[in-house]
Amino acid sequence: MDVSVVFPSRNREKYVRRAVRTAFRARHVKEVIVVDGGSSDGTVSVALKEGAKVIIQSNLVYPGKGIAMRDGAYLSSGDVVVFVDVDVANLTPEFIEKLYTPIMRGEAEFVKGCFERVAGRVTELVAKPLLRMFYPELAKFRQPLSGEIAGLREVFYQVEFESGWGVDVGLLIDLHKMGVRIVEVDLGFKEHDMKPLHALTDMAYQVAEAILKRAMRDGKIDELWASEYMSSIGKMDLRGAGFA
Amino acid sequence: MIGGGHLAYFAITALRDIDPRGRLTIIEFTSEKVEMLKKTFPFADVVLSSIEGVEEYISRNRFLIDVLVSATDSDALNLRYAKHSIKIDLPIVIAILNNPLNEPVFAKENVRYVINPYKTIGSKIKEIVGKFRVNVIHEFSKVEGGIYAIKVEDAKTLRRVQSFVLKSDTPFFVLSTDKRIRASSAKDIQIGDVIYLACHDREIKGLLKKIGRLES
Repeated sequence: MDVSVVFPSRNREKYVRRAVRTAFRARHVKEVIVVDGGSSDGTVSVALKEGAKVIIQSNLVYPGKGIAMRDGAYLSSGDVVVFVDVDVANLTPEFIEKLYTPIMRGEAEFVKGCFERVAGRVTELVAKPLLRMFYPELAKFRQPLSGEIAGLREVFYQVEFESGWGVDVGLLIDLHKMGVRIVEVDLGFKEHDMKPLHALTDMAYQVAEAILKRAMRDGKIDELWASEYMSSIGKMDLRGAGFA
Repeated sequence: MIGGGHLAYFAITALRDIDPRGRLTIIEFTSEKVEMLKKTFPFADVVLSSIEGVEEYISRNRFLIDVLVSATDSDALNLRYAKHSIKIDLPIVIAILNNPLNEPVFAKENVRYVINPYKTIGSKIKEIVGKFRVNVIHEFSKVEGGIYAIKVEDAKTLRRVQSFVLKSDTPFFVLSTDKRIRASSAKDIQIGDVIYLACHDREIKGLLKKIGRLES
């Protein structure tokens, strides 16, 4: 089985050369795709120089991680598609290989990576409580929002990608519902920039929205209540609550 | 036609205009959109396909296809389908972009016909605003004219503006370099001033031509 590695990226010139080179060194990797979110630095030219396929994500006006992931999956031609954040400072070929190994062995069709670190704030305070409430069978995942994932290409073609930060948890829920076999693999330590708290507000909202939307779709909550609730959260000024 | 979104709508309409009796097939990915497209374009065959099924469909029908237009909401898919169509020698392959920044990506992959629907935005803006090289402060609704601001940048502009004001008896006032607003005689206008003129469209165009800010 061939592997395509996709890096969603925006203004990551500093990291992209190393990321692409590292990905090409992983076994079975036939192509590396950089999906750019409209970088103003040299991300695109560096990626091209390193031999990556490059596409600018389709929806530039509202760049979102989900759209970048969708475009990466659509452009890929490998049997397995691996998504990795481009700015993982300690990325190694083994890191990528660990992600797709359960698929190669026929143990799973979708793999989520997790790390030896305290899970993120949005994961602990938003994603996990909501998953426990509506999808308790998924509460076992240590890092349901992890952006390091791998899957058979065909499974990505059967789901709708959320446009923004809700994409990872959305994929987890939808693929689980489709009966896809999912495993979580420990990728060890991940060296990664942490976002400041105020930068997490949008992310938290989009993650909550993705979960609640699916809970509503799956008949787990009342549609009217959920839409009113989401609308009221959207209008809430969170600055006074210490979020910004 | 691959994709049935808002960009595809215009392409479908154009193809229909070119060849009203031609056979048009639209490929879409969800059954909801397929149903909607069947109602919107009753003259077309609308086919439900998986993302991967499109290439197979195109290959299977390649001898029937004169023109292929890829207009999905993903440039990645449009590139993929265009490349496949070129590979199997379809006569005309057109991709419609979602993101104008992808134009060079498609060119690099030898996709000859790429439509960038956003291309006209810049040129239109320049055409409407830029060619006058004048600030339109207000446009009158009942006559073709308005209030226009021109910066008097040099001696030539100064002479032309003074001459224009004197000959046309156009109402004006001046914002001077020392931030004073004056409504005085043409002779008091100085280099550096901004002059506000209330006149007809044809008059301002005439002045702009004379001072070299509008092509004849």
